[in-house]
Amino acid sequence: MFFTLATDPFSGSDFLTLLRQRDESTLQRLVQSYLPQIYRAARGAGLNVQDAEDVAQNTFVTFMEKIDTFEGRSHVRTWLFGILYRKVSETRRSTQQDERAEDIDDVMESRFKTNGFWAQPPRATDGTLYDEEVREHLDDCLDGVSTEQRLAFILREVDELESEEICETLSVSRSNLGVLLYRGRNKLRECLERRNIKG
Amino acid sequence: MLKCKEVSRLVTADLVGGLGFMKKLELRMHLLMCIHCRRYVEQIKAIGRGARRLLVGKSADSEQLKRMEKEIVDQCCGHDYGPDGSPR
Repeated sequence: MFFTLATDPFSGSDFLTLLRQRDESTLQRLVQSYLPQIYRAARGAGLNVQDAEDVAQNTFVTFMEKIDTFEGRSHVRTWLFGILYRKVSETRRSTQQDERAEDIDDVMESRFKTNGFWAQPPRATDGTLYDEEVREHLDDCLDGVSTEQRLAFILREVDELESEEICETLSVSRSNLGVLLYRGRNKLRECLERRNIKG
Repeated sequence: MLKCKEVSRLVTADLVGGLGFMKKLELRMHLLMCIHCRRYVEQIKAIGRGARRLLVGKSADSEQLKRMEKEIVDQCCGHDYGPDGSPR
């Protein structure tokens, strides 16, 4: 496995033992290594600054509370992201409606003719112009994407995690992950197209 | 021959490592020939780039990180502070 390289300071049993003893410098090292990524993912998942800070901190606190049950079978980062995912879902559920009908599948269906060719092909876009459009609208468009799809998208596109790690984090199979990413990406693309259709 | 509809799915399946060698080859061949699907892929890639840029802008600054780190360590390592802020 790619995680168990000897150079990884967070994979050995020594590291776990020290954490279980609440060793401060070990915890500090862990926090310094992963807090930036955890906080960024919380923001990417749609939380505001205050909620993202709370959730990021609580992710580590929960991790330490459960450290005795952590067997080291997955990497600590995967575990942290898993805790983060559950906390973000709780927070987003209480602040906004997260369950939306999966109408993106119908939208995609309508994009194609029965013979499988594009009925409404993607617009021609100049590269830099499209980047500009994305810059302007992506944040708003992300609001229409569910927490699970957002995190799958962020962990893949921004953190560039391997599929295995994302699957473990979100507790989904590889084909489920494919569906999450497919829906998330296409929702974003459709949203951007709607906003910039003016021609 | 792959159809565009299938291509739109395969592009993402490829990202999660779900494609065998032959399917990958078919996908490439289709993209070479089909301008619409190439545009689709370009847009999907641009959205990924956009997300990276967006989140660089939303990352925590060093002061924020220090503050959060202190809170975490205080909570986890059972620090207790006196009224003057020094450890008891």
